[in-house]
Amino acid sequence: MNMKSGKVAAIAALLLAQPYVWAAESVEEARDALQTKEDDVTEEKNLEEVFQAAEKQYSLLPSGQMSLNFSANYNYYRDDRIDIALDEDSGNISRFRIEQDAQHSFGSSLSFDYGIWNNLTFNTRLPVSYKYDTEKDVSQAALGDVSFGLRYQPFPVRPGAVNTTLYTTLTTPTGDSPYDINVNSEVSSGSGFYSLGGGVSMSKVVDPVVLYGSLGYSMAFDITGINQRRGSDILEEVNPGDSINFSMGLAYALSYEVSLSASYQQSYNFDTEFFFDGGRIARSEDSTSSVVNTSIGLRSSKNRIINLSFGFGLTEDSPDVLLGLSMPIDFSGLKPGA
Amino acid sequence: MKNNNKALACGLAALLAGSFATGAKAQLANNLAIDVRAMSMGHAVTADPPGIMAIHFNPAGLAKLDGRRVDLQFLAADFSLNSEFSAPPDYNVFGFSDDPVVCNDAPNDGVDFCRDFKTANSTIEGISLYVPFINDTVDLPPGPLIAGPLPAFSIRPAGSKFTFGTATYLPMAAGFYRDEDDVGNFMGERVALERITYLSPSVGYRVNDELSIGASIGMSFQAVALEQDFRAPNELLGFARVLDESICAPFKGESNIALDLILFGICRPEEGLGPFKNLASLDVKMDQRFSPSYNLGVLWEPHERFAWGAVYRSAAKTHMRGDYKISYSNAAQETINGIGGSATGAIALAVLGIPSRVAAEEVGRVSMDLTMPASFQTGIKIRPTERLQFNVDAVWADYKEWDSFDFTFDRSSAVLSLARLFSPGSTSSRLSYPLNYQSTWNLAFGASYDLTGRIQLRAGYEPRASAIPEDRRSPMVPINEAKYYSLGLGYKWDKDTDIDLGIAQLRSKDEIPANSSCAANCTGIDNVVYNPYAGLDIKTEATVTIMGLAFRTRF
Repeated sequence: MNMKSGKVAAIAALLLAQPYVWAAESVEEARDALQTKEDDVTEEKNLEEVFQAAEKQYSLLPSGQMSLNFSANYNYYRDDRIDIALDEDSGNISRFRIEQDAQHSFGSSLSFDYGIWNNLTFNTRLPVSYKYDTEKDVSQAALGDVSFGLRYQPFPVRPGAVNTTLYTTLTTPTGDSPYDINVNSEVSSGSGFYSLGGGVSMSKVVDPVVLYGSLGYSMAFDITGINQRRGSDILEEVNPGDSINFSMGLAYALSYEVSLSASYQQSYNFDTEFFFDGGRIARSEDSTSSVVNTSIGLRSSKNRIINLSFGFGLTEDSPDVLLGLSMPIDFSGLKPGA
Repeated sequence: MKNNNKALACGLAALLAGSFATGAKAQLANNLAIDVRAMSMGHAVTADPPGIMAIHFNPAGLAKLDGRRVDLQFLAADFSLNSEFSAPPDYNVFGFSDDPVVCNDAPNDGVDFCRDFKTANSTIEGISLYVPFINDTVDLPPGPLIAGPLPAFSIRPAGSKFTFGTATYLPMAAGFYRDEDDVGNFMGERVALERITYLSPSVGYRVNDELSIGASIGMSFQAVALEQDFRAPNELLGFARVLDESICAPFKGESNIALDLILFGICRPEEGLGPFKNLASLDVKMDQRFSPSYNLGVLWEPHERFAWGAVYRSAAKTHMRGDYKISYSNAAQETINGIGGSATGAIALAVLGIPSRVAAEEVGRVSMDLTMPASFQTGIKIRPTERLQFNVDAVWADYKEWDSFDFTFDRSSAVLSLARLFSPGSTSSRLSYPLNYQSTWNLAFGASYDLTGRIQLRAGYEPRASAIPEDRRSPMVPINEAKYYSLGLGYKWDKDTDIDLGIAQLRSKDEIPANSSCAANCTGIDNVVYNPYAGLDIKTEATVTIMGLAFRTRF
């Protein structure tokens, strides 16, 4: 009964309101035209863009879209080691010297992203590097560890809310393994083992900045069948330690063209076990590597942001200096129909 | 005893060095099987670069390609390597001539000389390939090696003077395996050599209507794998056999302290050494996953009937790493262990820094620095009539770079401890092997005739110069002076699509008379590096047949 009267009332209202509806539609159109569109540049969108250009792991691509990114970096490691030998009989020091070692590492990588669904992005990264070790006087160009990853956004993005992304990464030991090289005369370019990592990263826009952070765990797989000479022993197997990593930072857009971001990353590596022939086992201590990184983003065209970064390591296990450059490679010309 | 050792030492040093060196000769297959059209024009295409594979032949040619293009190439290559070994009159090594390679007599028949000589033939069974990441070789069933589709892409954004491209191709791919009992196994029972360029970002730039320039960067995978038996037919091992068969015969199998002291344990082994015996087998696999190089090119087309082009392909310094395995023959192992097992023999070995005991196998890691030679090519294209075109190129390859091969081992082994005593430039973890190759110049010719608007017939001829000097030829992969002939057909499917077919053959025939090449058959006490067929006449014949199909279109 109620429903019926309601319907009648609605129809009556519609009939009566006809002229007003037309009027309202044109107003609506005007209002719509003035409203911000999805592809309009807003401060918030700009902020998201500059943030994702600086922190690639937070970005997702719409389904079917591809992007190619080029990055170059330079790391410098400086190390002083004390090489000491004691005479077994007398206990006197028979050798004491300080070895000064520096390693310059130039790297570049291509990373390719593909949006499988709107909330799932596939990623692969092909790094190459050129290393120069001053103490060994060795230089070497080499392929690094190729990695494959997926990023998944479980919840739809709501403006102002925390944006959550789950990620997983498989790293393959395609680089020169540190357990295959001649330790006296060669340098490695990879980790030497497969690793599978996963974690969660979150970001939130708190005008005028984006705050972000991530937490992840990486599992390292054992390496067997090694036959590497280390001193007088032969290394046969390595059980690399897993690692936990986290990062946090903020990005800030100074203007449409210029943005800044700063981040802190830390990873904690559990001990690694080395198995030598004859049953001897050596164990490395847990280690921590932490890095502070800052970057400046420059927008050179509507959809190109070039990032320059510099950073420094805070622990013995991190590089002393990091410099980086990253930029998207526009290959829209490659798309069919473009 | 010392002689015995020395012979073994020299031999084993040569085993390592010789095998690597011979393995690398297949790389003289410069330019082969890269592009079907270039292949059918005798590689004389610097002034007339073929589609996207201009990346290799002259990157300036990329500037002529517009829009988005893709090339797919399918290639089939078949190798045939035949060697013939025969004994010249008066053949003997320290009085012995019962060499099972050329002798029909029953083995160990108690006679030192051969009563019935034969001519032995060696051939290959099939193709062997090195598989990246598995780091091992795979034997393919008999038949040609088929590769493809090898993709190449290029793009010129509308209105731009730049064309960008990349291609995947095989600047070098050769490999074979022989039968287990083949007489050629002292020159490689299983060999695989590869250079795979997986990515080659390139750019061509059109300076004006007449002139283009171009550059490309090649990222390549490089690998060498080799399995080989080793022997050293020389006077030292001949003397070792005399010791074993004559002097030790009365004491065979006996071991008492007095005898061992006097004879340094030389008569202890059950089986002694000999000049024709297999001493050891070597198995080496090395690769490098990233080896960069670059190409630079220029193309000048002042007239539609004339063009000139030049390309420089840089050297690529490779540093390959991998595993080695040395399996000692029973005779070699028993000899060292026998000598090391006697008091005086052990002292003698210790003085020389040689281990007094060897296992049946030694394994470790080995690395090698190898520079892939630079090359330069320049040529012209002339169209005397509407339909006819001639190309002539001059090709230079810098094989002089290969004056020696150096190997670095991660540990010292019995072989290396011995090798360093006799091989100059070697240490207990480093081995140097002299090559003395020479740089080469040769001409190449190509012709094409437009039969109709759609069909083009092609032919090519290239008399290739030899990078291997006369005195370093070997039956392994005997590509010395070679003749290359090719035929091809181009079919224009539609405005944007071309199909190329090609067939080519490279032939190299050679005779290496006894004592003429110290990489195969030198005689003499100093023939240590590496002459497994010392004193034998060798005839070699290598044939490489390649067929290809290329599909080129826009997308």
